[in-house]
Amino acid sequence: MAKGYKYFEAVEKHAGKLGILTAIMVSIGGLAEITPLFVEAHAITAVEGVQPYDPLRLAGKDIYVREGCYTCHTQMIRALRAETQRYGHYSISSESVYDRPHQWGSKRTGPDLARVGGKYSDEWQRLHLMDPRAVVQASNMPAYPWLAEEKLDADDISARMRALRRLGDPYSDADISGVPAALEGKTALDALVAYLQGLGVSPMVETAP
Amino acid sequence: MITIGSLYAMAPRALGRPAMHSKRSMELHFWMHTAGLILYVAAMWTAGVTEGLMWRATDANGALIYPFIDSLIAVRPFYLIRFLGGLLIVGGMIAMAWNLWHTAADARARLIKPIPVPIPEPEPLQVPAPVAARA
Repeated sequence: MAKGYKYFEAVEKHAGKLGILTAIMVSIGGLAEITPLFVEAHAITAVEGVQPYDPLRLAGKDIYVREGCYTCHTQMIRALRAETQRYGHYSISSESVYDRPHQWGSKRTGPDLARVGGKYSDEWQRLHLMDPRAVVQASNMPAYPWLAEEKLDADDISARMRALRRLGDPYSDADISGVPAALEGKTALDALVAYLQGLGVSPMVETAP
Repeated sequence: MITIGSLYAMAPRALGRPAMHSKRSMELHFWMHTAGLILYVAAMWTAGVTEGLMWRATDANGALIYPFIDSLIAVRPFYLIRFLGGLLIVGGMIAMAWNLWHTAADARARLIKPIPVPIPEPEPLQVPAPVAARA
């Protein structure tokens, strides 16, 4: 028997000792993997042209999340030729810095929306949300007619902007005090269309792959 | 399926019965679940591969062949098959619920059977005497 076996045995035969030592070893492995990612994630900043959401688009983003759009639409164009050909330039991490939480998604029952902004007219988007079958005959997307009647809550959006500012988004006091004026007379449908039309239209990304 | 199997193994023991109420129902559940699962997995797998191939298909000039909506139409039959698979799985669960209900029948009957407890007669003489008697 090898000479060092008694040390091995001392660990292996005591469940508590074995458990603690295993936990330590696994933690070292985990930290080695996670720590660099953490540092990297904080290093990503908005590139030129990516702006924080204005009040109307921020409201639209909240409606996008509330209605569960992300369960059928991704916002993540992969770096594959067929993807960039269909949707435009592949998605870049710095484009999502103001998305809390990001809307990358993982299931495409409908097409990717990362660069849907400007692809269709506002009127098309409005019609499509009210009755998808009116513009795309074979669509299986649900209709969202209640959005057209829903008024936006300016207090709620200002509170959200203040919260985002605490998290580091560069909103000024003027931005926040301008919320009621920006949302005056707008419906949830207007907000969602504004959000969709702003997706992926930052000037730093060319449309051609 | 492990969860379901362990339920079938535990239920008679927990309910004080020699076996489940119906063995045939258990067999039926096993085959419904197996068939449902196979339909479900095969349909979703095929649908995923179909979508992936259609999204990346290009013609000789390098242009995309299918608009997105075509891939949605193409996977529709697979989603119907998945629905059938799901129906089989839910049906099997209903069979299990029925089986468990009847297995538990005996235990339920025992639960509501009153247990005879002797009720003591009031003591004629108490020391110290009750408050009312003292006054």
